[in-house]
Amino acid sequence: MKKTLFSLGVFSMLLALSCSKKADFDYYYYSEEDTKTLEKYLKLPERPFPYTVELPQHLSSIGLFPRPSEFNKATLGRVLFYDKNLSKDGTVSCASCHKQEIAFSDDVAYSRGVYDRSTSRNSFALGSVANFSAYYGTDLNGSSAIRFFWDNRAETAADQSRGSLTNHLEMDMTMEQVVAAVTNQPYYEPLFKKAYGHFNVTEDIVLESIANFVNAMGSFNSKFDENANGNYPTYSGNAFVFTPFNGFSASEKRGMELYNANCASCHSGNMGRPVLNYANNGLDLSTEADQGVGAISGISYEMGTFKVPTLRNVALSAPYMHDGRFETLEEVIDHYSTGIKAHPNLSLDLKNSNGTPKQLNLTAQQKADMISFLHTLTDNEILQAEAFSDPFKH
Amino acid sequence: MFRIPAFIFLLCIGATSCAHYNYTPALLNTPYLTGKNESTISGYMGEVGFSGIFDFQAAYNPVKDVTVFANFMRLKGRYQNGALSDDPAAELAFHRYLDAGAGYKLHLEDQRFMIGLYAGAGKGVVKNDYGSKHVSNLDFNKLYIQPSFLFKGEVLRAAIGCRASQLAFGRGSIDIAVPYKDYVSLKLLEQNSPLLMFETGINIGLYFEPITWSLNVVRITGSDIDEYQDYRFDTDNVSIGINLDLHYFYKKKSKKN
Repeated sequence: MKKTLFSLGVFSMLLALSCSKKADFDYYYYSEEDTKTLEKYLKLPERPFPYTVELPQHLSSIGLFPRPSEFNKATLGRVLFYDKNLSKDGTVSCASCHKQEIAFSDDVAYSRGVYDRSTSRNSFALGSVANFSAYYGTDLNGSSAIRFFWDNRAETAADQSRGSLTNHLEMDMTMEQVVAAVTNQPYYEPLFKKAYGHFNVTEDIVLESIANFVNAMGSFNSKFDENANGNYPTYSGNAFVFTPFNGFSASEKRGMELYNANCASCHSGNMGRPVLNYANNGLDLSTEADQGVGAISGISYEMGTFKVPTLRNVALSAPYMHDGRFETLEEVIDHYSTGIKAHPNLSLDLKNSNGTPKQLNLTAQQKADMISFLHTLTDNEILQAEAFSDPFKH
Repeated sequence: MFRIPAFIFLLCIGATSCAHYNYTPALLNTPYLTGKNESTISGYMGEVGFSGIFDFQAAYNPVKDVTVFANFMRLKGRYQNGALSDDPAAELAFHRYLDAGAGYKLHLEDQRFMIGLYAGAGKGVVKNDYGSKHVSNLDFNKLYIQPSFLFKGEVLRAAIGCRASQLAFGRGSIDIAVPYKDYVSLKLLEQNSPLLMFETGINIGLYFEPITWSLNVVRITGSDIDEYQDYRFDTDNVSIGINLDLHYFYKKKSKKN
């Protein structure tokens, strides 16, 4: 009996000591071994980023839906997006031409690909893919779905990624080489297992992962969004507009009025997805060097037309146009003010009733107002968002 | 084995709409033993959300009014899409807790009324599986003292007690992809453990020699109740069961001899 009581006493003492200790929880997402492997190469967060896209109320209220993004696939996509091993000479990743600090655009007219080759068009700003690739109702991949590249040759972000990975001026890989490069990197196995439950790398799942990451890139925190949210859209002329924008300065309001009157019919007034998929905006009298959409479709009236971009983060994504010919917003405004050329396929929205180019002939004040408004479309949050930053330890 | 009255079942469901808990209180052990060498074992069953709880209690009086005891609690449930499931891939809640202790009873003037003071210590493990292999595993130690007030009538037996417990979570292994609310609760628990808390229990039974049919209820009490819910603690354990007086059998045997 004494022994039992003594044992109970000792047991209680030991428990009393252990009861005063602080808890020590070990949080893991990947297995211990996988964590060690990942930590050697990557800076991934303790808890994966959610990559959940929620369109602002002023866009969701008109029936726009974001493309779906799954966080494990987007996490994998983030690594693929920044991985230079996916290029022929190991010097270029998607992020080389889509720099986060400038809304995933590039600051040169023509980006540099593998072996310092010059690409053929200006890099497209991806910082608001979630906005401009949003879709209406059930039309996820329907005929009106937004397309990618300046010539709209890619139907989805996955197709767009394939295009860049295999373009000889950009990353110059075959998809077989991409699959092999992914398979050979030790950090991909844990990421694939989380995303797909296995490590049987295929072209399709590599591209799907990148698409999940890219489709989650959204710019919803601009001054424009702040002022548009909570205001229900009204249809005015041929574009959705929002009033009143009480947080806007007088100059920004005047700029928005000019924008809605002259630009929104193509670029959209709600800053969701552009109204037109492609157009010719009178940059040149003829476009024999680069026929844009027409070069893909072969249709004569599409010759010299190019994708109409979203203007979100436009103040960050210079230089402008498909060939990066304009270095500043001022030059862009000057073009629409007095520089539109009479291209045979010039957009109807840029033509007078007699068929001549419609020059806006803006005053200096109007130009300044327009530029003030365009600056309200900047979302600084995505420029620093860790979820979209380079995960590699350099 | 036992049918749980509908109102108790609804009470449990209402009080606990979620099945993943980081702690569930074990029932209070308030043995009615008084004489030397008396002993009893008890089994209780209850339900919390979609999980079943089983409490096993044993007590023995080595000398008059001095009791040593041991308690074991197991909570287990599998559920999927809001219903119980046998599918091994279904979400799982699995808790185990074992403690031992001792206590002394003081008889009041009316010998049917007693005041008992017990103390004990225990260890427990909590495993919550949220499906898709997202699991949290915790272990904890518990020290407690438990003053109780008991009534031992010819047929009616009743006890009320309050267990002042020091609950200390030790090591935890947590898949960070568990639902975000659970992740937050685990972080909070890690930050604030060890916890001092009060668990108040009532036991009401009808004695028909040698068995007592009992309702046993325990609830985490105190002004910090919201805090315990933030920790994802199940605050109630409502169970019914039987106590079997083992000394009945060996007393009978010795009488025969």
